[in-house]
Amino acid sequence: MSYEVLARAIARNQGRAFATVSSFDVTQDVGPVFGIAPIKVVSEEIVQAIAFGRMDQAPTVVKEHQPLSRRSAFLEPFADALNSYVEEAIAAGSMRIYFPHQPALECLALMGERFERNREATDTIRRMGYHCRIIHELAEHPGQQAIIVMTDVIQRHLVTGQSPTKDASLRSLLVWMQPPAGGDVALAADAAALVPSAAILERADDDAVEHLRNEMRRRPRVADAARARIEAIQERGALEEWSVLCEARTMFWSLGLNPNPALLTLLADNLEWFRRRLETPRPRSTRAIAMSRIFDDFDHYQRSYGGLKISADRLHFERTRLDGRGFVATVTAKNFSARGEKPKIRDLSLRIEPQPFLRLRRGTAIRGLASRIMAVVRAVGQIDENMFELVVSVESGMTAAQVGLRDRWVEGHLSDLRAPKSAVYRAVTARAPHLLSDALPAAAGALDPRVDILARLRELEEQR
Amino acid sequence: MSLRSSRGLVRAAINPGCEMLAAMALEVGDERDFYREVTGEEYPAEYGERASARRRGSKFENNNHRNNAAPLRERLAEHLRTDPEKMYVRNLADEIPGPPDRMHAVRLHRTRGFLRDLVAGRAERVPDLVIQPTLELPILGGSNGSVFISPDFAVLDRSAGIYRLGEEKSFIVRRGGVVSRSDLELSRLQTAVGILALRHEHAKAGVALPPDRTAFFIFATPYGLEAHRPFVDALDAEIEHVERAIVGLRAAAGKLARLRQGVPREVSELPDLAGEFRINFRESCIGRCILAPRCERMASASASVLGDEATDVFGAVLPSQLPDLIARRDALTGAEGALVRTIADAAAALGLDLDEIARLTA
Repeated sequence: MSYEVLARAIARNQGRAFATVSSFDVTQDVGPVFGIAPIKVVSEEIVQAIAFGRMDQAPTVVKEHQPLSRRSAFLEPFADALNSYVEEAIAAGSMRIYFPHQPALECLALMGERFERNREATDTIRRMGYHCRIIHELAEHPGQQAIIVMTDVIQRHLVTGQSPTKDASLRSLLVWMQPPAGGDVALAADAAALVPSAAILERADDDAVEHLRNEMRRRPRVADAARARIEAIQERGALEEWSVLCEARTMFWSLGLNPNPALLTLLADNLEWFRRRLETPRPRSTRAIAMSRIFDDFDHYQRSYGGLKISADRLHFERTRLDGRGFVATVTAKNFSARGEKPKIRDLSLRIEPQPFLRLRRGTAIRGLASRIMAVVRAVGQIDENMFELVVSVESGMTAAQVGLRDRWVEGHLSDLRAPKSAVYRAVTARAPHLLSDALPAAAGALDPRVDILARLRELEEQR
Repeated sequence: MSLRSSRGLVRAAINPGCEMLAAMALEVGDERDFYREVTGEEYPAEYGERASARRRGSKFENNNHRNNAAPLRERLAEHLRTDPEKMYVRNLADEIPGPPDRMHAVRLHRTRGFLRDLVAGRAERVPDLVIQPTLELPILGGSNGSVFISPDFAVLDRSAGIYRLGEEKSFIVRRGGVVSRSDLELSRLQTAVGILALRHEHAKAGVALPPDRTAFFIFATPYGLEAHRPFVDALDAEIEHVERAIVGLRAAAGKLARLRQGVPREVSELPDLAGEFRINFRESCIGRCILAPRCERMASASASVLGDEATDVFGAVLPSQLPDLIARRDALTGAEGALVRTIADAAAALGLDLDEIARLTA
């Protein structure tokens, strides 16, 4: 049973959302933040209106009454604002863009694919297309701090008293976060969810817009009036999405959880990645080496994010401990050889406080959350059913390693392995480029398939 | 007893454990009328496909079928390694115009003709591509006990000597080939119904069958209505679900017949008998089954309103019983004892103890 199920039962009974973490897993807003609330054509994935702007100001709305016409001029103000915000924010060392939900982010990602290299579009819109694409790429980085999708971030911090499927509706989540006085919160949440939270117009508005578009085609005399009505509906829809986005942001930051300033390092890492992409635009990676680098980045971000969350959030550490990958232990003995003495010994004995089980074994890397000691397990001993003892070899943080030190320890290290891995890729690429590219190797004499390989081997052995 | 449409079978396949859903697949025509008759209220949520969504779907299909289905032929030929120019196309939607549900008999007759020609080795008469063929899948026996399904196309795989089905969906394939999983669930189940129906038609025509459980899916690129290269997907799980749903439909038909024995039909319509059918409220019902709001209300005290995982964990225990179970925890054995131990572990992960859980759920 996951703890979330129990938390849902509590939330249902209490009639309000229940926090499952003790601290925020995103940093507080730093500098001006930008919001994007698009409205797309249902199924078309083509944007028909966008409310956007700095979130401390009134939004701007752009709209196109015939989005299937492929006209993109209406996007110019949005492109201008997004390009300026992104470039200024990266230069200032802070960028944060809010989206109400995943469909809004997906809408932006498709704008990226469509406009990034569209020769018919203006330079401003192509630049916007590139920004949209890298914003979406950054949003995929584990634990990234720059792109906030409200439904996702809220669900990482609390659960509601309804099923996870219903949590996909941002409006419904907000009802659970701030329930109506005296009413049935589940019914109120269901009623709120009748308005879609998916970057689309309400059904009645959508049908009205469809009807008006047909009217425009059939009766040119009323075209101007129909267009004005379409644009009014689009604007209202986009502004409603914007308003829900703002409300969600306010409610989220009012949850009263502990801040986690350590995550600023992750934000800096994300912005550095983004800055490099701005300075050196590059297409989406498809080749083996480039894909490996992306996976290494993901692995690094995942470990950094996990590590920073465990340090700051007592509940997160508790879950790691119950999973057997973390423990609380005291140093009971220290066996360090003298400086210059061989063999070099840096051993600590740790007495682990009772816990159900331990998933550590010889060779596992561990680290102390407060002491910052990094060590490798050399031996695991079980004293009784719930009591374990470890001998570990310290790799860094020698000065903190003192008898009597009590700390929270977790599996894994936080070393950044991307640079050494990159060196390996460079070496592999240099020595065997054909393994990692689409091009076939030039036929060398020794590799000519017509050569009798067995004869060649014998020849080589004789030479040796 | 008759079957309304293949759509009901697809829905029943999403939740094969629900008797009510199976009975609805057998008898319900207008779902909103049915909801009103069962609950006495109007259905509160959005219902049916939006006009804008329907328009894109039909535009995408029309685009693929233009010029003797040239875009579709080109895409399929790439995969089948044949010459698209040599593909013989029969578009039953053009030949027998009208909505498929009214044209079943004629289209089915022609589709069976193609299969007979295939068996008889009359290769020149066998089309390589059939747009909107109709297939029959018998469920209950009798003249009205079949569902008729019209897949978007069937393409002849000459290397295997069989037709393989395909669906055209206007969902957008992003770079890297990503289509939203939730978008595909219903399409995959619908295609699985088609595969079972095609298997039946193949067997009826005497085609020696290799075990094919795959289908083609044609999606759109992000750029307009252009077709993306086809995906071939194995639908083993979906076929299994549909087969289980067919068993459920047969059981529901038997139960309906038993309940109606000796009862006048005017008081034994399905809305009158709705209370007799077991419901199985799951997360997958939300937004898919018209009765989901009613079933959720009926299950409001149970753990199923908290999601499928909660249903599995709590079983028959109601969340409101937690304080009592926790108070008696030392005396509990068996399933209840195991549940309290599980709850103790989950509580620890929330930084709480069992007494706090009892207080918070009281």
